[in-house]
Amino acid sequence: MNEVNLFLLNLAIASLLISVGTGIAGTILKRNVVKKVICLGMVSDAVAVLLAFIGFRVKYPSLPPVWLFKEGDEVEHALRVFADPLPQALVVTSIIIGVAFTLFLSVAVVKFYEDYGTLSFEKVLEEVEGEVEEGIE
Amino acid sequence: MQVTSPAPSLCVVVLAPVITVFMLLVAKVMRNDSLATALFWGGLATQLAVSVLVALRVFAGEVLVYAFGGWPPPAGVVLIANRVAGVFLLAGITVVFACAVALKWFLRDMRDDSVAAYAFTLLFASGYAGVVLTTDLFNIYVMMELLCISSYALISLKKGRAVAAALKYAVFGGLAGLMLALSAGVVYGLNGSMYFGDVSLAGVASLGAAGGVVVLMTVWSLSFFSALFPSHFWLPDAHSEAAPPFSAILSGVSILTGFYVLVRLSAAGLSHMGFMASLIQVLAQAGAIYAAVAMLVQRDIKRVLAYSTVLNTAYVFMGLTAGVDGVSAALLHALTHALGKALAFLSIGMIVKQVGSRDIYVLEGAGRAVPIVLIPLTASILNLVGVPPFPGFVSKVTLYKALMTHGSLSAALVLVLTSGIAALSYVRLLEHLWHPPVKRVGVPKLPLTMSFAIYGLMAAMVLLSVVCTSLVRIFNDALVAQHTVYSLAKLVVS
Repeated sequence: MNEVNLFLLNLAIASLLISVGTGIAGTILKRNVVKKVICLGMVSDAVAVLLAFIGFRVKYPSLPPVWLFKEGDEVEHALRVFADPLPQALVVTSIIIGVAFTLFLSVAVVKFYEDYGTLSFEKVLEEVEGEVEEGIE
Repeated sequence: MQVTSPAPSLCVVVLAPVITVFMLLVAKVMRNDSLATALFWGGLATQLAVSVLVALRVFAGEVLVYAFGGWPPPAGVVLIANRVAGVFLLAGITVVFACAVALKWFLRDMRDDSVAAYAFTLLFASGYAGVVLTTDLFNIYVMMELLCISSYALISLKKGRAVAAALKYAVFGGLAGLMLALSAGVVYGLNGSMYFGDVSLAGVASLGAAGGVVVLMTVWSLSFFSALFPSHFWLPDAHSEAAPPFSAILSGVSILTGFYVLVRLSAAGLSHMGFMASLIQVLAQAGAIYAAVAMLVQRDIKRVLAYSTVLNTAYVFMGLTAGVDGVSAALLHALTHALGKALAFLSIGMIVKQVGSRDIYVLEGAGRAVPIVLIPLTASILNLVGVPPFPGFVSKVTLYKALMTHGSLSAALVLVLTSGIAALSYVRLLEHLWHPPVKRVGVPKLPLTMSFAIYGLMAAMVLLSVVCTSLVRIFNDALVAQHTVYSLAKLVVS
């Protein structure tokens, strides 16, 4: 791997880590639940790309892991240059879980907004505690 | 030790409820409610029956192994049931079944029709069985997400503010899940395998800075799902707002999964990892003190129980840092707490539904009006206090002894002290419920299904109190042999 490529790889990983960090910070700090969901999506995508990178560790240039009747020397060559398929399977799984999860969150946010007319669940939950204190609940 | 592979019963335990969910959707499209109900019971009963079978075979001395597609680890997904897994599978599925029996009575408070509640209960059961049996870090992530997403949905099904609590849990739970996925991937990158037999937390932590961060991330995300202080912030809202049967399965079953996975990863818990062990020990002790004090000031009766869950999680994590003895004591405590807390939430839910308030002062004397519920409720609370005939006493004493022998004097002290403080809250709760009624409360008719659920759980608790001393020994032996089992299973499959 030459120096330019190494630099680009490091840059990519650094920017992914930064977006994971930004996403986490947003999920915790934003009060608007739609923004929380968007930040969660950011983390989810960055994690997926990071996982895909793990499949390409140390091997560069690499080929897609497709086995087309290789024999003899070709087998050894293939094993040297193939990207690891396992992390890619993990990425696909985690993307699918992410889709399902985002769908659930979206439905829950809509229901929540219909009920309370606000997008801050913290506000609503604080009200709950207040009401119980007064013995209304 | 006899390793049986393949054991299709493990596959059935995990997949039967999921397959039933697909059929439920067909029933939903056909608008056939009785078919949906029949399918729901069919799925759950199959799972319960097969998990009884698994537990029996495991106790006959077998270790059950099932590799999907016959693929060996690290590429394949392998389910393994040793004795610890057998006991936890049976206990968890029993609690889910009992709560499902009680579910019918609470369906009227739900936002959606019964099919949604059925479907998510089945998915929850499936996710739990998966978490208990699987031996692969990434599959743990998948099963944990199945368990957690169905938990969020179960909470949000109740009308009212439950959806806010579910969102709070879901947003942070999603974050913890992603951290688990990322750490699984990095562990694979560093270690070349995610199979529990090949991964040791201490080994990964010794692989430089990245390894340390990954272990920290894994332990944090798992402790989030178990609501270890300070990641417990979602629990009091989520567990108090959910409908009673769901509070029961969340507080009883879902909460022990994070801890259980850590035990499956490493039989001695975190005891041999210096920094991690002291960090968890500090958090657990701080959490125990915080939760015990927080219990005292609650007026919402379900929040008292929710904070008691945080307290018991802290106890369980204390055991995680006290060697194999501590871990087996913690496993027993997780088990006694699961049954006791599920029973407490179910029976309190019954009283709360009758009175229409969760305020402890409004509930004054309400317990006396329903003595048939008050008896199991009292039993479950005495179990949580740790009064002698109940299994909670044995588990607390075993945990105390393990902490003392391991030299964690401060933890043992905190255990005794916080048990004392928490006992005040439990007694306060009982005092309010046993108080002569201040105003007339309508005497409810306890439906037969509801009494089945409550008394079934109480019978399970009595059974546990009979076997709990021998269970500690069984857990201990199983934990010592755990790594050998993983290696044997890998050999047998490949």
